[in-house]
Amino acid sequence: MSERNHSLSPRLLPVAALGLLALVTRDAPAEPPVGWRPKDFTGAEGVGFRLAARATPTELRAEDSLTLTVRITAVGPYRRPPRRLELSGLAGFRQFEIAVPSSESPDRYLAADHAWEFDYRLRPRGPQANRIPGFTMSFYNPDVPFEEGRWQTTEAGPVPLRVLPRPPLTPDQAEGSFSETALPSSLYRFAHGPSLLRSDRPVEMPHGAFLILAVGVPPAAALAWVAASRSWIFTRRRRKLSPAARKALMAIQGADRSGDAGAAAAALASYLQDVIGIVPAELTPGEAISRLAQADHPLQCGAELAAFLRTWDALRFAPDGWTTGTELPATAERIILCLEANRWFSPLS
Amino acid sequence: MVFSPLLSLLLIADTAGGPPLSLEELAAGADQACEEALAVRDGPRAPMLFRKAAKRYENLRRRGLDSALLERNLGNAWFLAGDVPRAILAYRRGLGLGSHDQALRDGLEYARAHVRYVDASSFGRPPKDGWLPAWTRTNATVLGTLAFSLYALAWALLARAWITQKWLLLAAMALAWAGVAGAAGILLAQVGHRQKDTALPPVIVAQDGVLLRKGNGLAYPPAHPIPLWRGVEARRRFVRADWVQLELAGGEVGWVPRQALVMDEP
Repeated sequence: MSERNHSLSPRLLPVAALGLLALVTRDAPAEPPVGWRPKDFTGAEGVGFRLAARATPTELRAEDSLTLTVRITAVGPYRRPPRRLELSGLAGFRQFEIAVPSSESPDRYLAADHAWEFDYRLRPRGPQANRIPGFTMSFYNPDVPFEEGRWQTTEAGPVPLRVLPRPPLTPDQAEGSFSETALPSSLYRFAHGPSLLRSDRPVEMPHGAFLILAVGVPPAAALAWVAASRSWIFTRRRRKLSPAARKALMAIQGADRSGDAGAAAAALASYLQDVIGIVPAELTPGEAISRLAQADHPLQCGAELAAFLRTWDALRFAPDGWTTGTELPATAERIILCLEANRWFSPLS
Repeated sequence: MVFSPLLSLLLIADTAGGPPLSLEELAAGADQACEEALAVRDGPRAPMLFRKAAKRYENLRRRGLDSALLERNLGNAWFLAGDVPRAILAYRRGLGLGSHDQALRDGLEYARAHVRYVDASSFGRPPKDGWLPAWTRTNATVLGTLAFSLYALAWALLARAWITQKWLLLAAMALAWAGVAGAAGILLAQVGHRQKDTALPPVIVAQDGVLLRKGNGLAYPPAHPIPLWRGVEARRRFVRADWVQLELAGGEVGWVPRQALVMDEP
């Protein structure tokens, strides 16, 4: 009695494995992989799809519009419908200007045929665009057991066109105010040669350090000018005395050498009367200070004069006369120089 | 100008990946193409030849040159080639470099007159940049020099008035300060305009019937029912893949496909 062999033949093992695989995967349909998808994948998932294209009109002039209708038909059960195919990136369509579609959704769904139609508005750029090229669409068929076989492609054939050149317009055919004769002459003016080889820098805020210098230098210079002019004026004052002052100073210096305080006082009195307009003998020291202040002379001059007057009064009424008061000539000289120095600042001078 | 076949061959070799041409050779090539186009300016081949000249001028830009004169050439060439959007973009770039160039302003104004608008509203209309009178559109260097000179003069007048106490000088100083304020104000306006161009560069719509959408995809509804036409000017806010967010002169914001625009690549 022979034993019955219940084991499978080795040749049937792959088939059995396929069958097992089909059983395992049958109730869990595969998803299209996210990582890699063909560029012409429109999202369609199903057993099969057919792609076709037609154009209306097929005879037109360059830059006139035509409508390309792309029809995608499901040839069996499908899980997901197709979306709009992107044509503008395809090499063959560069000769057409493709209007941006208003929506990704199909323009029509033909339920009886299980077909979706998408309209595209195209404009041939010239007579050389004599056909709409063929193009493909990829779809995902999850029923194929092997992953490599699930990506499938369908193709639409080219659509021949007859594109005629546009006749040149004459000015009387042009609409609106634009006419070739109205083109401004500046449109035909072109720069040539080395002038094209330079680069212009756009307007920018200047660098911070440059800005600080530009803003700071003029006021600093103005301040320096004011300071320099003051010192220059003072120097000029010292060098350039009025004739009355020079005469009085000479008399005072002579009086100082001879020890005659009275002569120094007389010289000062004469100067004050001639230049300032005050008679010292008629003034008290306080009145002298206020008279000089009214004439915008510095208080220092007034104080010196008041001290001089007090000394002067004491000496002229002293029993021994002008024999004392040897400091009077120096005081008189200081008073004259003080008044002369201020003379340049006086708004009355 | 003598047409140079050798130069043409060199230019072909350059575009075919040969050794790079010098800037002088590129400029000579562009000039040659321009002369060829001007020779037939009224003929049917003129737009094609002007397009060729415009592409040669673009080569100079790609090599890093940029000036108001070059942009004026580009704008004129693109316009005469029939590409109004590229012409407007070139004129706008040129005015950013030399806002005092009257030829650029004339070209821009003329190109803008060829842009269609669907209705009488302000939607999609170009920005109003004419608030400054024409006499203020001077070279920034000239304006800056004038402002600095008036500024220095104002301080000098103040110092002189202080020294001599003559009040008439203070009146002259006040006039000088007014001049400084005016010149500095115009300069600041020019700088501000330039900074805005840098932050939100200009873009031009290159196709007819483009809708502004609320998002970066065809699935988003339109943000505005009125479509935009070729030549409408806007500013670029964001770029996401193949979609660009725009801001129109009237403040409207929306997304359009990148292919529908002419713009300088970010």
